[in-house]
Amino acid sequence: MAVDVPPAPGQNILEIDDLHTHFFTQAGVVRAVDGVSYAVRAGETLGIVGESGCGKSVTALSVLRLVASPPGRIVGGAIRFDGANLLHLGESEMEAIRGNEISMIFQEPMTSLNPLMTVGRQIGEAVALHQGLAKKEAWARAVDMLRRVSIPEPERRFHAYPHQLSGGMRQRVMIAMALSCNPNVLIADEPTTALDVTIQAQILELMRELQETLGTAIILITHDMGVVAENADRVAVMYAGRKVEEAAAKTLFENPGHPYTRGLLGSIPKLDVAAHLDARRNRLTEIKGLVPSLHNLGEGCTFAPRCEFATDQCRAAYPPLVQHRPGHTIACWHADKFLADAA
Amino acid sequence: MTVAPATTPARNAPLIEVRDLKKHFPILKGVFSRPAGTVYAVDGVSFCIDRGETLGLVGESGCGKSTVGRTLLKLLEPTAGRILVRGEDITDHDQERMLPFRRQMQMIYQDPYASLNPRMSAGEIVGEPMVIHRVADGDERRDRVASLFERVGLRPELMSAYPHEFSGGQRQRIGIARALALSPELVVGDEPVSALDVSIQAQIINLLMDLQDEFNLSYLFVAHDLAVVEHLSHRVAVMYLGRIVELTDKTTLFEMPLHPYTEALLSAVPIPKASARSRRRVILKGDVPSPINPPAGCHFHTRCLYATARCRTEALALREVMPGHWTACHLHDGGVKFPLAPPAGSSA
Repeated sequence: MAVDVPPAPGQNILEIDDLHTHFFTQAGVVRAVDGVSYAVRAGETLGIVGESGCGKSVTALSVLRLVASPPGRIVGGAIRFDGANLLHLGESEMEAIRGNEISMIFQEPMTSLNPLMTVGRQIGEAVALHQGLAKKEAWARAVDMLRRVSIPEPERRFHAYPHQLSGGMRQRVMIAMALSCNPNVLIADEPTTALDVTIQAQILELMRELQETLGTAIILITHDMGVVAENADRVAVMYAGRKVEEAAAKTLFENPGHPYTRGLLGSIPKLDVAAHLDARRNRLTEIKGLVPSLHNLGEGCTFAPRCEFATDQCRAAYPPLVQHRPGHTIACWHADKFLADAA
Repeated sequence: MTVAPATTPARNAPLIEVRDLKKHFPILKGVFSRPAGTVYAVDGVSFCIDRGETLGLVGESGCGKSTVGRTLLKLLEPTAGRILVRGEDITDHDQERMLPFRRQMQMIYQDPYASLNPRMSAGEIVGEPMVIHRVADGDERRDRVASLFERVGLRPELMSAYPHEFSGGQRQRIGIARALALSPELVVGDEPVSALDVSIQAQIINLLMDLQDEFNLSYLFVAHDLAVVEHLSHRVAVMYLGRIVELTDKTTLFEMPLHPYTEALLSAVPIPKASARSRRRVILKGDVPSPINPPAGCHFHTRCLYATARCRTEALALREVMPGHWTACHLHDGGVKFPLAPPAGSSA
C-alpha cells in the first residue's frame, strides 16, 4: 500500500457505484442489492436505514467481499476505495484492506468474537497481522485500545474471555478491535440493536467520541430511525434492494420526499413533547401490506403496491433517482408534489 | 430488607390487583441440585389494572418484567404476594379453580415464530382454546374462528394454512386471534411487537388499540421500548432489577419523571427527529447489576447520578408522592423535587 495520507474531510473516501449483489437460490434469483450507489466522506457518519431484507447489510458485506458465495455473487457495479476498485482485487490484497483500512462491527458481538481466545489476544492478533507489530507492542496496543473504549481495568480484561463480559462490554471489545488499526472506514451493522437502551446510549456516545479523535468515516446501518436521527450526518433509505432516498439527516427528518420514508417516520411511536400534547392515544400511520419478495419484482416501482399515491406511471416503470435539491435525491415519480406539500 | 408497601396503588374494584408479588428462582448446582443461590427476578411488585386500561411495564433485559406477566397469569407460581381478580384472591387456586380465570386472562408472546405450533393449521391454533374450554363445536367453532380471523385482519381462507406460510406480522395476528378466542378481559402482551419491522409494528399496535376499544380489554403491556409502551399505555410502570421504581400516567411520566432511572431511560431513547441531536442527555455509567446479587439499599444506587449514603443501605417502597404518581426514591423525602438534583452537600 502507498503511504498513508489522511484524506481531507468532505472528500469521498469510499464509493459504491451501481452495485448489484444477487443470490442464486433454487427458488430463483434474489436481487438483494439491485443497483445501489452511495458514497461516504472522510470523517462523516452515513446512516443506512431500511427494514429487514431491504439489502442494507448485503451492501455492506459486498464492500468487504464477505457475501457467502455460493449462493451470493456480486454481479455488477464498482466499489472504489483509495484509487482501486475493490471488486478487482485479489484475495490477499482484500485481506490487507479488511480490518485494516475498512473494518466492520456486527450486531451480535457474541457470535463475532472467538469464544476460545481472550479478548486481548484477539485485538492483539489483528494489530500484529496488519501493522506488523511485534507481539509485545501488539499486546500493549490492545490494552491501550481497551482503555480507549472505556473498559474498566483494561489490563485485567485483556485476559477475559468473551463469555465473561456483558453484552455492552463485548460490543466495546468489538469496537476496540475494529478501530485498533485506525481504519479509514468503519462499517457498523446494527451495532446497538442487541443492547439495552441505556447501554446503547453509552456505545453510541463512545462511537461519536472516537470518530472525533480518529476521524474515521462511519457507515451506520440500522433499522432504528431514532439512532440515525441522533448520529448520522447524511442518511440513505433503502427499500427492496434499492436506495429510494438520500439527504442530509436534518432534511430527511424535516422534509422527507419519498412516500416510504414518510410512511416509516409516521409509523414510529415518538417519545417527545408533541406526542404528549394530546393525552389520548393516537393511531399510528400504517404502511399497508408487506415488504415484497425479492424474487419476482416487476418493472414498476417496488413500493407502488403499498403506496397510497401510486399511479399507472408508478406501476409501469421504476422511477430514476433524481436530485430535487442540492444533496437530496429521491426515486419517486411524484416526489415534487410531496416536497411542495411539506413546504 | 424488602419493604412491603403500606398501601398499594389501588382504586375501587380494579380488574387486577397485585400486592407485593415476588418470584424468586433457586439456582441449583451439581449432581444433587443443591441450591447455590437465588435469582430475585421479581422482588415485591404492586399494581392495579382497571377494565379497559393498559398498564405498560417497561424496563431493560433481566429487570423481571416478563416474569411479572407470567406470574400474574400463574404460569409461574408466585413465591410470595397476592394476586386478586375482581377482588377474588387467586394466588392459591389449584388448576381446577383456575380454569375460569384462565379464560379471562390470555397472553400474546414476543416471538411469532416460536409461539405457534408448526403442525397445526392457523384455524386450529385459533380454535384450540375453544376446544380446551369446551365453548364451541363444529360449525359454530368454525364460524367463530373465521370471524376472529376477519377481526384481526386475516382472510378466513387462510384458516387452513400452516404457520410457516405466514409472515411475522401475520403470525402475530394469529397469536392475537387465539388470545381473543375466549373473549378474555385481560390480555398480557409480552413484547408483542418487538420482533416486527417498524411498518408492521405500527399495524399491530393500531390493531391492539382498536381491539381494546371494541371489547373493553385490559392490557398488561410488557416491553423494553419506551416509545412503544408510552404510545399504547394509559399508565406506565418502570421496573429496575425486580422492583417498580416509578408508576404514573404516561404523560406525567414523560413530563415529570421523578425517579433517576426513569429520567435516564427517557433520555437514552433515540428520537427520530432532526431536533433530537441537541437535547440534554443523561448517560448512565456501567451495566445493570445481576439479579442474583442485587446491590443493597436502592438497587439503582450503583448507577444513580444522585445517590447518597442513605441510598446505599436503605431501600424504599413505592410511595405516592403526588396524586397518582408513585415512585421509590429518597430524593423526594422532604417533598417532591423536580427537576431532579443531587441533595445539597452530598457527593453524587
